[in-house]
Amino acid sequence: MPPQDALTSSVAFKAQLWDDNPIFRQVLGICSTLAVTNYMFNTMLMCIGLIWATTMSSLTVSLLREFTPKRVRIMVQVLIISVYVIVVSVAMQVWYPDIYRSISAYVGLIITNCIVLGRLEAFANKNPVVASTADGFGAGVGYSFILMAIATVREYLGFRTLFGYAAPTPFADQEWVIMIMPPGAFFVLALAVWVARGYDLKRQAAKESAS
Amino acid sequence: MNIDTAKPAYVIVYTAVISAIFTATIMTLNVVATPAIEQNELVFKNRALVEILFEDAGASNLPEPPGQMSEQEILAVFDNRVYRSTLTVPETGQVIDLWTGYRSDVTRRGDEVTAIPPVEDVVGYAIRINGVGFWEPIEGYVALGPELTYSRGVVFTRQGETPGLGAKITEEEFRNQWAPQRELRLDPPESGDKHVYISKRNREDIPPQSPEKNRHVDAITGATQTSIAVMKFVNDDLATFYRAARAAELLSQGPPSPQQAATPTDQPETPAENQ
Repeated sequence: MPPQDALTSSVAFKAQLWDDNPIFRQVLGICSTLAVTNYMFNTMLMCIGLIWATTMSSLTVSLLREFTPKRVRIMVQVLIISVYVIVVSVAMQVWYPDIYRSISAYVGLIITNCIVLGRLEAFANKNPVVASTADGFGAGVGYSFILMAIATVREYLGFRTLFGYAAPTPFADQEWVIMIMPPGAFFVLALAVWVARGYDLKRQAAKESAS
Repeated sequence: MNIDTAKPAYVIVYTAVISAIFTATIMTLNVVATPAIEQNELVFKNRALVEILFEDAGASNLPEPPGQMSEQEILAVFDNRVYRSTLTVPETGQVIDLWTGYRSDVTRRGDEVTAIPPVEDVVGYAIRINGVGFWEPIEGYVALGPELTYSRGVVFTRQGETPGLGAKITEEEFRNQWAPQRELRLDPPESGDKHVYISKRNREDIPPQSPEKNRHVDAITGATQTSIAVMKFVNDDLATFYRAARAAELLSQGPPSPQQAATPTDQPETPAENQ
Protein backbone atom coordinates (compact mmCIF):
# COMPACT_ATOMS: atom_id res chain seq x y z
CA MET A 1 0.00 0.00 0.00
CA PRO A 2 1.48 3.37 -0.96
CA PRO A 3 2.25 5.86 1.83
CA GLN A 4 -0.50 8.30 2.74
CA ASP A 5 1.37 11.31 1.37
CA ALA A 6 1.92 9.64 -2.00
CA LEU A 7 -1.76 8.69 -2.13
CA THR A 8 -2.74 12.27 -1.34
CA SER A 9 -0.33 13.51 -4.02
CA SER A 10 -1.93 11.35 -6.65
CA VAL A 11 -5.42 12.43 -5.61
CA ALA A 12 -4.39 16.11 -5.48
CA PHE A 13 -2.81 15.96 -8.94
CA LYS A 14 -5.77 14.20 -10.56
CA ALA A 15 -8.30 16.52 -8.90
CA GLN A 16 -6.60 19.56 -10.41
CA LEU A 17 -6.56 17.97 -13.84
CA TRP A 18 -10.31 17.46 -14.06
CA ASP A 19 -12.63 17.48 -11.01
CA ASP A 20 -11.29 20.80 -9.66
CA ASN A 21 -9.82 22.08 -12.93
CA PRO A 22 -8.85 25.74 -12.45
CA ILE A 23 -10.42 26.92 -15.69
CA PHE A 24 -13.72 25.12 -16.17
CA ARG A 25 -14.45 24.22 -12.52
CA GLN A 26 -13.03 27.06 -10.47
CA VAL A 27 -13.14 29.62 -13.33
CA LEU A 28 -9.77 31.06 -12.28
CA GLY A 29 -6.99 32.54 -14.45
CA ILE A 30 -9.47 33.86 -16.98
CA CYS A 31 -7.54 37.08 -17.66
CA SER A 32 -4.56 35.24 -19.10
CA THR A 33 -6.85 32.77 -20.83
CA LEU A 34 -8.30 35.68 -22.77
CA ALA A 35 -4.99 37.43 -23.30
CA VAL A 36 -2.58 34.80 -24.58
CA THR A 37 -4.61 32.20 -26.43
CA ASN A 38 -4.56 33.62 -29.95
CA TYR A 39 -1.18 31.98 -30.61
CA MET A 40 -0.43 28.40 -29.59
CA PHE A 41 3.27 29.12 -29.16
CA ASN A 42 2.71 32.06 -26.82
CA THR A 43 0.16 29.98 -24.93
CA MET A 44 2.60 27.10 -24.55
CA LEU A 45 5.28 29.36 -23.09
CA MET A 46 2.80 30.98 -20.73
CA CYS A 47 1.72 27.51 -19.60
CA ILE A 48 5.30 26.40 -18.95
CA GLY A 49 5.86 29.55 -16.89
CA LEU A 50 2.69 28.98 -14.92
CA ILE A 51 3.43 25.29 -14.28
CA TRP A 52 6.84 26.30 -12.93
CA ALA A 53 5.35 29.06 -10.75
CA THR A 54 2.52 26.95 -9.29
CA THR A 55 4.76 23.94 -8.65
CA MET A 56 7.66 25.79 -7.03
CA SER A 57 5.46 28.21 -5.08
CA SER A 58 3.41 25.33 -3.67
CA LEU A 59 6.58 23.48 -2.70
CA THR A 60 8.08 26.52 -0.95
CA VAL A 61 4.90 27.60 0.82
CA SER A 62 4.37 24.07 2.07
CA LEU A 63 7.95 23.89 3.35
CA LEU A 64 7.47 27.12 5.27
CA ARG A 65 3.88 26.50 6.43
CA GLU A 66 4.80 25.61 10.03
CA PHE A 67 6.86 28.79 10.41
CA THR A 68 4.76 31.36 8.55
CA PRO A 69 2.56 33.52 10.82
CA LYS A 70 -1.05 33.47 9.68
CA ARG A 71 -1.42 37.24 9.63
CA VAL A 72 1.41 37.71 7.07
CA ARG A 73 0.90 34.54 5.04
CA ILE A 74 -0.60 36.25 1.99
CA MET A 75 2.30 38.70 1.82
CA VAL A 76 4.79 35.84 2.06
CA GLN A 77 2.94 33.86 -0.60
CA VAL A 78 2.91 36.77 -3.03
CA LEU A 79 6.62 37.33 -2.35
CA ILE A 80 7.35 33.69 -3.14
CA ILE A 81 5.29 33.74 -6.34
CA SER A 82 7.03 36.93 -7.45
CA VAL A 83 10.47 35.40 -6.95
CA TYR A 84 9.66 32.36 -9.09
CA VAL A 85 8.05 34.48 -11.80
CA ILE A 86 11.08 36.78 -11.87
CA VAL A 87 13.28 33.69 -12.22
CA VAL A 88 11.25 32.71 -15.31
CA SER A 89 11.48 36.24 -16.65
CA VAL A 90 15.25 36.52 -16.17
CA ALA A 91 15.91 33.03 -17.53
CA MET A 92 13.95 33.84 -20.68
CA GLN A 93 15.77 37.16 -21.12
CA VAL A 94 19.12 35.35 -20.90
CA TRP A 95 18.44 32.21 -22.94
CA TYR A 96 15.39 33.02 -25.09
CA PRO A 97 15.44 36.80 -25.61
CA ASP A 98 13.45 36.69 -28.86
CA ILE A 99 10.66 34.70 -27.27
CA TYR A 100 10.72 36.92 -24.19
CA ARG A 101 10.14 39.98 -26.36
CA SER A 102 6.94 38.51 -27.71
CA ILE A 103 5.42 37.41 -24.38
CA SER A 104 7.10 39.61 -21.75
CA ALA A 105 3.81 41.30 -20.87
CA TYR A 106 2.22 37.94 -20.08
CA VAL A 107 5.09 36.58 -17.99
CA GLY A 108 4.59 39.36 -15.46
CA LEU A 109 0.89 38.55 -15.38
CA ILE A 110 1.63 35.14 -13.81
CA ILE A 111 2.24 36.93 -10.48
CA THR A 112 -1.35 38.10 -10.41
CA ASN A 113 -2.80 34.84 -11.70
CA CYS A 114 -5.50 33.76 -9.26
CA ILE A 115 -4.68 30.08 -9.77
CA VAL A 116 -1.25 30.36 -8.16
CA LEU A 117 -2.34 32.25 -5.06
CA GLY A 118 -5.55 30.20 -4.93
CA ARG A 119 -3.68 26.87 -4.71
CA LEU A 120 -1.24 28.21 -2.12
CA GLU A 121 -4.02 29.48 0.11
CA ALA A 122 -6.36 26.53 -0.41
CA PHE A 123 -3.87 23.63 -0.33
CA ALA A 124 -0.13 24.25 0.04
CA ASN A 125 -0.61 26.30 3.18
CA LYS A 126 -2.12 23.27 4.97
CA ASN A 127 -0.64 20.14 3.40
CA PRO A 128 2.65 18.22 3.24
CA VAL A 129 5.33 19.10 0.71
CA VAL A 130 4.91 16.25 -1.79
CA ALA A 131 1.12 16.54 -1.92
CA SER A 132 1.33 20.34 -2.24
CA THR A 133 3.88 20.12 -5.04
CA ALA A 134 1.65 17.59 -6.85
CA ASP A 135 -1.33 19.88 -6.35
CA GLY A 136 0.55 22.89 -7.75
CA PHE A 137 1.84 20.89 -10.69
CA GLY A 138 -1.64 19.49 -11.34
CA ALA A 139 -3.18 22.98 -11.27
CA GLY A 140 -0.59 24.16 -13.81
CA VAL A 141 -1.16 21.18 -16.09
CA GLY A 142 -4.95 21.41 -15.72
CA TYR A 143 -4.82 25.09 -16.68
CA SER A 144 -2.45 24.34 -19.55
CA PHE A 145 -4.38 21.67 -21.38
CA ILE A 146 -7.55 23.76 -21.45
CA LEU A 147 -5.58 26.80 -22.57
CA MET A 148 -3.85 24.85 -25.33
CA ALA A 149 -7.20 23.52 -26.53
CA ILE A 150 -8.61 27.06 -26.66
CA ALA A 151 -5.47 28.35 -28.40
CA THR A 152 -5.67 25.57 -30.99
CA VAL A 153 -9.21 26.56 -31.95
CA ARG A 154 -8.47 30.30 -31.94
CA GLU A 155 -5.24 30.12 -33.94
CA TYR A 156 -6.70 27.69 -36.45
CA LEU A 157 -9.84 29.71 -37.08
CA GLY A 158 -8.14 33.09 -36.74
CA PHE A 159 -4.99 32.47 -38.77
CA ARG A 160 -5.52 29.05 -40.41
CA THR A 161 -2.26 28.00 -38.76
CA LEU A 162 -1.13 25.71 -35.93
CA PHE A 163 2.02 26.76 -34.07
CA GLY A 164 2.52 29.24 -36.91
CA TYR A 165 2.50 26.57 -39.64
CA ALA A 166 -0.21 26.65 -42.30
CA ALA A 167 -2.92 24.07 -41.58
CA PRO A 168 -5.23 22.49 -44.18
CA THR A 169 -8.83 23.60 -43.99
CA PRO A 170 -12.07 22.29 -45.50
CA PHE A 171 -13.64 25.75 -45.10
CA ALA A 172 -13.40 28.71 -47.42
CA ASP A 173 -9.98 30.28 -47.07
CA GLN A 174 -11.23 33.11 -44.93
CA GLU A 175 -9.61 33.96 -41.58
CA TRP A 176 -11.97 34.71 -38.70
CA VAL A 177 -10.39 37.85 -37.32
CA ILE A 178 -12.76 37.85 -34.35
CA MET A 179 -11.16 34.63 -33.14
CA ILE A 180 -7.85 36.40 -32.48
CA MET A 181 -9.59 39.30 -30.78
CA PRO A 182 -10.62 39.12 -27.06
CA PRO A 183 -14.31 38.37 -27.91
CA GLY A 184 -13.16 35.24 -29.72
CA ALA A 185 -11.57 34.03 -26.49
CA PHE A 186 -14.87 34.52 -24.65
CA PHE A 187 -16.73 32.43 -27.24
CA VAL A 188 -14.22 29.57 -27.26
CA LEU A 189 -13.77 29.61 -23.48
CA ALA A 190 -17.52 29.41 -22.94
CA LEU A 191 -17.76 26.53 -25.41
CA ALA A 192 -14.86 24.74 -23.70
CA VAL A 193 -16.50 25.08 -20.28
CA TRP A 194 -19.82 23.90 -21.73
CA VAL A 195 -18.30 20.84 -23.40
CA ALA A 196 -16.22 19.89 -20.34
CA ARG A 197 -19.07 20.29 -17.88
CA GLY A 198 -21.50 18.54 -20.23
CA TYR A 199 -19.14 15.59 -20.52
CA ASP A 200 -18.72 15.55 -16.75
CA LEU A 201 -22.48 15.52 -16.13
CA LYS A 202 -22.91 12.62 -18.54
CA ARG A 203 -20.08 10.73 -16.85
CA GLN A 204 -21.60 11.23 -13.40
CA ALA A 205 -25.06 10.22 -14.61
CA ALA A 206 -23.61 7.05 -16.08
CA LYS A 207 -21.85 6.28 -12.79
CA GLU A 208 -25.02 6.80 -10.77
CA SER A 209 -27.11 4.62 -13.03
CA ALA A 210 -24.49 1.89 -12.83
CA SER A 211 -24.34 1.92 -9.01
CA MET B 1 9.44 22.10 17.50
CA ASN B 2 6.72 24.26 18.98
CA ILE B 3 6.85 27.88 17.77
CA ASP B 4 4.36 30.55 18.74
CA THR B 5 4.01 32.20 15.34
CA ALA B 6 1.46 34.68 16.65
CA LYS B 7 3.95 36.66 18.75
CA PRO B 8 4.43 40.17 17.28
CA ALA B 9 8.20 39.99 17.61
CA TYR B 10 8.27 36.67 15.73
CA VAL B 11 6.06 38.06 12.99
CA ILE B 12 8.37 41.05 12.51
CA VAL B 13 11.56 38.99 12.53
CA TYR B 14 10.11 36.29 10.27
CA THR B 15 8.84 38.85 7.77
CA ALA B 16 12.17 40.67 7.73
CA VAL B 17 14.18 37.47 7.30
CA ILE B 18 11.96 36.04 4.57
CA SER B 19 11.94 39.37 2.70
CA ALA B 20 15.72 39.65 3.00
CA ILE B 21 16.31 36.10 1.74
CA PHE B 22 14.04 36.39 -1.29
CA THR B 23 15.13 39.93 -2.13
CA ALA B 24 18.77 38.88 -1.93
CA THR B 25 18.01 35.93 -4.22
CA ILE B 26 16.49 38.22 -6.84
CA MET B 27 19.29 40.76 -6.52
CA THR B 28 21.92 38.07 -6.97
CA LEU B 29 20.07 36.68 -9.96
CA ASN B 30 19.90 40.15 -11.51
CA VAL B 31 23.57 40.86 -10.91
CA VAL B 32 24.56 37.53 -12.46
CA ALA B 33 22.18 37.85 -15.42
CA THR B 34 22.55 41.54 -16.27
CA PRO B 35 25.70 41.24 -18.45
CA ALA B 36 24.10 38.49 -20.53
CA ILE B 37 20.83 40.43 -20.85
CA GLU B 38 22.66 43.61 -21.89
CA GLN B 39 24.72 41.65 -24.41
CA ASN B 40 21.50 40.16 -25.85
CA GLU B 41 19.99 43.64 -26.14
CA LEU B 42 23.12 44.97 -27.83
CA VAL B 43 23.15 42.12 -30.34
CA PHE B 44 19.42 42.52 -30.96
CA LYS B 45 19.69 46.26 -31.71
CA ASN B 46 22.89 45.92 -33.74
CA ARG B 47 21.41 43.05 -35.73
CA ALA B 48 18.32 45.14 -36.45
CA LEU B 49 20.47 47.98 -37.81
CA VAL B 50 22.79 45.71 -39.78
CA GLU B 51 19.85 43.88 -41.35
CA ILE B 52 18.14 47.00 -42.64
CA LEU B 53 21.35 48.70 -43.77
CA PHE B 54 23.02 45.71 -45.44
CA GLU B 55 20.09 43.58 -46.62
CA ASP B 56 21.63 43.39 -50.10
CA ALA B 57 24.82 41.57 -49.07
CA GLY B 58 26.43 41.66 -52.54
CA ALA B 59 26.01 45.40 -53.03
CA SER B 60 27.12 45.93 -49.44
CA ASN B 61 30.30 43.88 -49.97
CA LEU B 62 29.40 41.36 -47.30
CA PRO B 63 30.10 37.61 -47.64
CA GLU B 64 26.57 36.60 -46.62
CA PRO B 65 23.21 38.21 -45.79
CA PRO B 66 22.96 39.56 -42.22
CA GLY B 67 20.08 37.16 -41.49
CA GLN B 68 22.50 34.23 -41.78
CA MET B 69 25.25 35.76 -39.65
CA SER B 70 26.22 34.62 -36.17
CA GLU B 71 26.17 36.92 -33.15
CA GLN B 72 29.92 37.58 -33.44
CA GLU B 73 29.71 38.30 -37.17
CA ILE B 74 26.88 40.78 -36.63
CA LEU B 75 28.85 42.61 -33.93
CA ALA B 76 31.93 42.66 -36.20
CA VAL B 77 29.97 44.10 -39.13
CA PHE B 78 28.40 46.69 -36.85
CA ASP B 79 31.77 47.72 -35.42
CA ASN B 80 33.56 47.83 -38.79
CA ARG B 81 30.89 49.04 -41.20
CA VAL B 82 28.53 51.24 -39.22
CA TYR B 83 29.36 54.70 -37.98
CA ARG B 84 27.12 56.43 -35.48
CA SER B 85 26.92 60.22 -35.54
CA THR B 86 24.40 62.88 -34.61
CA LEU B 87 22.49 65.53 -36.53
CA THR B 88 20.87 68.61 -35.04
CA VAL B 89 17.58 70.12 -36.08
CA PRO B 90 18.39 73.82 -36.48
CA GLU B 91 14.97 75.15 -35.47
CA THR B 92 14.61 73.17 -32.26
CA GLY B 93 18.11 72.04 -31.34
CA GLN B 94 16.87 68.44 -31.20
CA VAL B 95 19.69 65.93 -31.61
CA ILE B 96 19.05 62.90 -33.83
CA ASP B 97 21.15 59.74 -33.88
CA LEU B 98 22.21 58.68 -37.36
CA TRP B 99 23.74 55.32 -38.24
CA THR B 100 25.61 55.25 -41.56
CA GLY B 101 26.41 51.93 -43.22
CA TYR B 102 29.50 51.63 -45.47
CA ARG B 103 30.73 49.16 -48.09
CA SER B 104 34.24 49.39 -46.65
CA ASP B 105 35.60 49.40 -43.11
CA VAL B 106 35.89 52.40 -40.84
CA THR B 107 39.36 52.94 -39.41
CA ARG B 108 39.79 52.45 -35.69
CA ARG B 109 42.43 52.97 -33.09
CA GLY B 110 41.26 50.88 -30.18
CA ASP B 111 37.62 51.76 -29.55
CA GLU B 112 37.94 55.13 -31.25
CA VAL B 113 37.00 55.63 -34.90
CA THR B 114 39.73 57.68 -36.55
CA ALA B 115 38.50 57.79 -40.15
CA ILE B 116 35.35 56.95 -42.03
CA PRO B 117 35.13 55.74 -45.65
CA PRO B 118 34.32 58.21 -48.46
CA VAL B 119 30.70 59.18 -49.09
CA GLU B 120 30.66 57.03 -52.27
CA ASP B 121 30.91 53.98 -50.02
CA VAL B 122 27.71 54.79 -48.12
CA VAL B 123 25.10 52.04 -48.54
CA GLY B 124 22.46 53.73 -46.42
CA TYR B 125 21.44 55.68 -43.38
CA ALA B 126 19.27 54.59 -40.47
CA ILE B 127 17.39 56.67 -37.95
CA ARG B 128 15.45 55.78 -34.85
CA ILE B 129 11.65 55.90 -35.01
CA ASN B 130 9.39 55.81 -32.00
CA GLY B 131 5.91 56.72 -30.88
CA VAL B 132 2.88 55.52 -29.01
CA GLY B 133 1.16 52.47 -30.44
CA PHE B 134 -2.32 51.17 -29.69
CA TRP B 135 -1.22 49.66 -26.35
CA GLU B 136 2.38 50.58 -25.65
CA PRO B 137 5.28 52.61 -27.02
CA ILE B 138 6.74 51.35 -30.29
CA GLU B 139 10.43 51.77 -31.16
CA GLY B 140 12.47 50.83 -34.18
CA TYR B 141 14.63 52.02 -37.03
CA VAL B 142 14.00 53.00 -40.62
CA ALA B 143 16.81 52.92 -43.18
CA LEU B 144 17.16 55.01 -46.32
CA GLY B 145 19.39 54.68 -49.36
CA PRO B 146 22.44 56.92 -49.85
CA GLU B 147 20.39 59.50 -51.78
CA LEU B 148 17.90 59.69 -48.89
CA THR B 149 15.09 59.15 -51.39
CA TYR B 150 13.95 55.55 -51.01
CA SER B 151 13.42 53.25 -48.05
CA ARG B 152 15.90 50.42 -47.47
CA GLY B 153 13.96 48.79 -44.65
CA VAL B 154 12.19 49.10 -41.37
CA VAL B 155 12.51 47.16 -38.12
CA PHE B 156 10.69 47.40 -34.81
CA THR B 157 12.72 46.66 -31.70
CA ARG B 158 10.03 47.29 -29.11
CA GLN B 159 6.27 46.95 -29.33
CA GLY B 160 3.41 45.67 -27.22
CA GLU B 161 0.66 45.56 -29.84
CA THR B 162 -2.00 42.85 -29.99
CA PRO B 163 -0.40 39.52 -30.94
CA GLY B 164 -1.63 38.45 -34.35
CA LEU B 165 -2.90 41.93 -35.20
CA GLY B 166 -0.87 45.08 -34.47
CA ALA B 167 2.15 42.95 -33.59
CA LYS B 168 2.32 42.01 -37.29
CA ILE B 169 4.37 45.18 -37.83
CA THR B 170 7.35 43.02 -36.87
CA GLU B 171 6.55 40.36 -39.48
CA GLU B 172 8.03 40.09 -42.95
CA GLU B 173 4.78 40.73 -44.80
CA PHE B 174 4.62 44.26 -43.41
CA ARG B 175 8.37 44.92 -43.33
CA ASN B 176 8.95 43.70 -46.90
CA GLN B 177 6.93 46.64 -48.15
CA TRP B 178 9.82 48.83 -47.02
CA ALA B 179 12.50 46.78 -48.79
CA PRO B 180 14.58 48.43 -51.58
CA GLN B 181 12.91 46.46 -54.39
CA ARG B 182 9.52 47.96 -53.48
CA GLU B 183 10.89 51.46 -54.17
CA LEU B 184 8.98 53.11 -51.36
CA ARG B 185 9.71 56.84 -51.42
CA LEU B 186 10.40 58.54 -48.12
CA ASP B 187 11.94 61.84 -49.24
CA PRO B 188 10.13 65.14 -48.57
CA PRO B 189 6.94 65.07 -50.68
CA GLU B 190 6.36 67.65 -53.40
CA SER B 191 2.64 67.55 -52.71
CA GLY B 192 0.59 66.20 -49.85
CA ASP B 193 1.85 66.35 -46.32
CA LYS B 194 3.09 62.84 -45.66
CA HIS B 195 6.35 61.07 -46.45
CA VAL B 196 4.59 57.71 -46.33
CA TYR B 197 0.94 56.60 -46.29
CA ILE B 198 -0.14 53.49 -44.42
CA SER B 199 -3.74 52.86 -45.40
CA LYS B 200 -6.31 50.26 -46.41
CA ARG B 201 -6.28 51.44 -50.03
CA ASN B 202 -5.34 48.96 -52.67
CA ARG B 203 -1.97 49.91 -54.14
CA GLU B 204 -3.21 49.33 -57.71
CA ASP B 205 -6.15 51.68 -57.21
CA ILE B 206 -4.01 54.69 -56.38
CA PRO B 207 -4.09 57.15 -59.32
CA PRO B 208 -0.71 58.31 -60.64
CA GLN B 209 -1.35 61.94 -59.66
CA SER B 210 -2.17 61.02 -56.03
CA PRO B 211 0.41 62.06 -53.43
CA GLU B 212 0.04 58.50 -52.11
CA LYS B 213 1.51 57.01 -55.30
CA ASN B 214 4.87 55.30 -54.60
CA ARG B 215 4.52 56.26 -50.93
CA HIS B 216 1.90 53.66 -50.03
CA VAL B 217 2.22 50.84 -47.49
CA ASP B 218 -0.64 48.38 -46.94
CA ALA B 219 -2.15 48.72 -43.47
CA ILE B 220 -2.47 45.59 -41.33
CA THR B 221 -5.95 44.06 -41.48
CA GLY B 222 -7.70 44.39 -38.13
CA ALA B 223 -5.00 46.68 -36.74
CA THR B 224 -6.04 50.06 -38.07
CA GLN B 225 -5.03 51.90 -34.89
CA THR B 226 -1.52 50.43 -34.92
CA SER B 227 -1.16 51.22 -38.63
CA ILE B 228 -2.26 54.82 -38.06
CA ALA B 229 0.08 55.18 -35.08
CA VAL B 230 3.05 53.88 -37.07
CA MET B 231 2.22 56.16 -40.00
CA LYS B 232 2.02 59.17 -37.70
CA PHE B 233 5.30 58.74 -35.86
CA VAL B 234 7.25 57.57 -38.91
CA ASN B 235 6.13 60.71 -40.75
CA ASP B 236 6.96 62.91 -37.76
CA ASP B 237 10.39 61.35 -37.32
CA LEU B 238 11.16 61.50 -41.04
CA ALA B 239 10.16 65.17 -41.23
CA THR B 240 12.45 65.95 -38.29
CA PHE B 241 15.28 63.92 -39.82
CA TYR B 242 15.02 65.64 -43.18
CA ARG B 243 15.19 69.07 -41.56
CA ALA B 244 18.38 68.03 -39.80
CA ALA B 245 19.75 66.27 -42.90
CA ARG B 246 19.20 69.37 -45.03
CA ALA B 247 20.95 71.49 -42.44
CA ALA B 248 23.86 69.05 -42.41
CA GLU B 249 23.91 69.10 -46.22
CA LEU B 250 23.32 65.38 -46.40
CA LEU B 251 20.27 66.02 -48.54
CA SER B 252 21.40 67.21 -51.94
CA GLN B 253 18.08 66.91 -53.75
CA GLY B 254 14.41 67.48 -53.10
CA PRO B 255 12.13 70.48 -52.97
CA PRO B 256 13.31 73.30 -50.72
CA SER B 257 11.01 74.69 -48.07
CA PRO B 258 11.35 77.71 -45.77
CA GLN B 259 11.19 75.50 -42.66
CA GLN B 260 13.95 73.32 -44.03
CA ALA B 261 16.41 76.09 -44.88
CA ALA B 262 19.95 74.91 -44.57
CA THR B 263 22.08 76.07 -41.71
CA PRO B 264 25.71 75.26 -40.99
CA THR B 265 26.20 71.62 -40.24
CA ASP B 266 26.75 70.48 -36.72
CA GLN B 267 27.69 66.98 -37.67
CA PRO B 268 31.14 66.33 -36.20
CA GLU B 269 33.89 66.41 -38.81
CA THR B 270 35.98 63.94 -36.90
CA PRO B 271 34.33 60.77 -35.82
CA ALA B 272 34.04 60.51 -32.06
CA GLU B 273 31.42 57.96 -31.28
CA ASN B 274 30.35 54.59 -32.60
CA GLN B 275 28.20 52.42 -30.38
